Amino acid sequence: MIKFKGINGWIVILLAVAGTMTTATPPSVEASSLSPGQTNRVFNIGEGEEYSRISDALEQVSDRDTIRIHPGVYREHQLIVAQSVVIIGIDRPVIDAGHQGEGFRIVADSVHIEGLEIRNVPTSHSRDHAAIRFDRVSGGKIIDNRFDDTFFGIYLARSHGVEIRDNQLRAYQTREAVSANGIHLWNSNHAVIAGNIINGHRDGIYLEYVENSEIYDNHAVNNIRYGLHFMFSDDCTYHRNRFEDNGAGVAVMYSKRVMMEDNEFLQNWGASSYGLLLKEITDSEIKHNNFSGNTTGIRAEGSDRVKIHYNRFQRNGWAIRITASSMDNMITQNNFIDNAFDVSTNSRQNNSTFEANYWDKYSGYDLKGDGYGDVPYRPVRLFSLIVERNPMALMLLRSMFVQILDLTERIMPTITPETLVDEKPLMSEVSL
Amino acid sequence: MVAMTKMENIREMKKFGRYVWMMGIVLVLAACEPGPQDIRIGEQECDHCRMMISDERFASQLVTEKGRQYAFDAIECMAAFVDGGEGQSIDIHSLWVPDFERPGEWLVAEEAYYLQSDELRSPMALNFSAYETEDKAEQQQNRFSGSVMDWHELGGKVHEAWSNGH
Repeated sequence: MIKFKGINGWIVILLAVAGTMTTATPPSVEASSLSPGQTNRVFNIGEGEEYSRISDALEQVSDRDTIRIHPGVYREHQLIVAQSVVIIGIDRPVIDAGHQGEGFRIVADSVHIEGLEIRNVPTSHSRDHAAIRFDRVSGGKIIDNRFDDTFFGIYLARSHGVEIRDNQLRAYQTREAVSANGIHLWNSNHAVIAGNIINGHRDGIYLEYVENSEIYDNHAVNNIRYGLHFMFSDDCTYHRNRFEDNGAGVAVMYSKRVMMEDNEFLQNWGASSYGLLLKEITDSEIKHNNFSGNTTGIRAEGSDRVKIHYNRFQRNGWAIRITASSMDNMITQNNFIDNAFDVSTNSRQNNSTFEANYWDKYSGYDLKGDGYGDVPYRPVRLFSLIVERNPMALMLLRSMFVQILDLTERIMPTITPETLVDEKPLMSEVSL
Repeated sequence: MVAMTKMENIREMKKFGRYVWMMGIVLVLAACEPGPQDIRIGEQECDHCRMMISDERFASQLVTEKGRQYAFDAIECMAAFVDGGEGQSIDIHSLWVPDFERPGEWLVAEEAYYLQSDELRSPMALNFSAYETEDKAEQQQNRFSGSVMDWHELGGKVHEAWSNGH
């Protein structure tokens, strides 16, 4: 009994000590709705608030606390977030890194950042400075932030399950200087990238060794290289994005099982520009997209088993350029309208199937009345092969001589791929 | 014939002078060694992987005997090109890699040293950067970690990494 009493006494003393410790926490912190295992304190930052600097508050927080940043300009950089906190900007406060270094570096799981504007992250020859970097964490959200003149905007390194939503990234990078990507993912899986607007970076969105991620409702415009760029990234989906006026629209390279749906590839003009580049892509699907006003709509090299269907190709120089190294692709139920060249290839070999597409240049008839033309359509013009070998020949595009050449070839194919033929060309457009 | 007028003589001289000029121009052109040419960043595409070249820290080039340029977005792409089918069938004059420490300067690929480091990420993800001397490459290694090698060893690494046919 005496022994027990002794232990009870110790517990009482311990509790008393713990009690004084809680009361000893800075009075600046207001406790609110404590639930078991959480601290849930709120730190206010701003003029006349408990903290004037974000970095001071970050040193005091524990998991599940909230940091509220009041309006103002905060000249701070290299803000390390090492606890799972929520950081909320009230009326969009500005964090100005003053070209001194990176903005936030997140090294804790499930950090939430919302409503900030981050400015002036410096370019660097050898350091990948970002406005917000997630480094080896799991979970997290970046929502409704603005980025102005940041080198990299959002950078995920070995971080999984992060959500990047409704941000606006604006940079002013040029071809001549070192440039960096707006949203950059490296070795990061299960990401969601949605509703962002990215302007003026190298690539709008860049994925390297990324799996099982979803990219939708983004708008990439005026970026130096690509709107969206896949490298070695399998099992991803991108849909309802708009890629406009970038160096080229989207490059999907060395990746498997990529789903591309409902995107718009617009106005990618330039000598070697294109809406979509497929380089060594397998088992993927391109569906319900709009390719309009591009030098080349889709350019495919070494890509196998890609299904291209229900797309619209309109007013492109080339709708599709596909190399003979591409095998077993299925191109069907697409609309080809007002393109200078519908399909072009680099050899007489063809290992893909073109079937039941609508070609506005088709001049056949449908006596059977089954909706398909009775004579096959050959979408590769002889002239396109000449241009493929000698691009300067393009200046003869509208010449009489070329028209006659094309007509003769259509009647008696000798150079164009014999098997690249649509046996069932549609008589009317596919309704998409 | 001996009585060639002075006028004719001058005409002959002028003709001869033109030949001298022509010869001179031909000689100057012939003496031009093919060398590295500008790469139009953000416009030219890689002759191996087709990616648009956008980072001058890694952009490399091969020049043929006739002076034609093949441009690459990364050092590893040039190594793969030389190692693979297409590079075998052209007359290579020289291979050039960008000096990581002096943007705009070119190094002869076979004489340069390379750092492969995850901290300096190249467009094709094998992450090679080039330096003028082994010393400089090692100094950089101290800053960024990774391993230092020569052109031959780099070729082996690329071959090994991309043997499945990039």
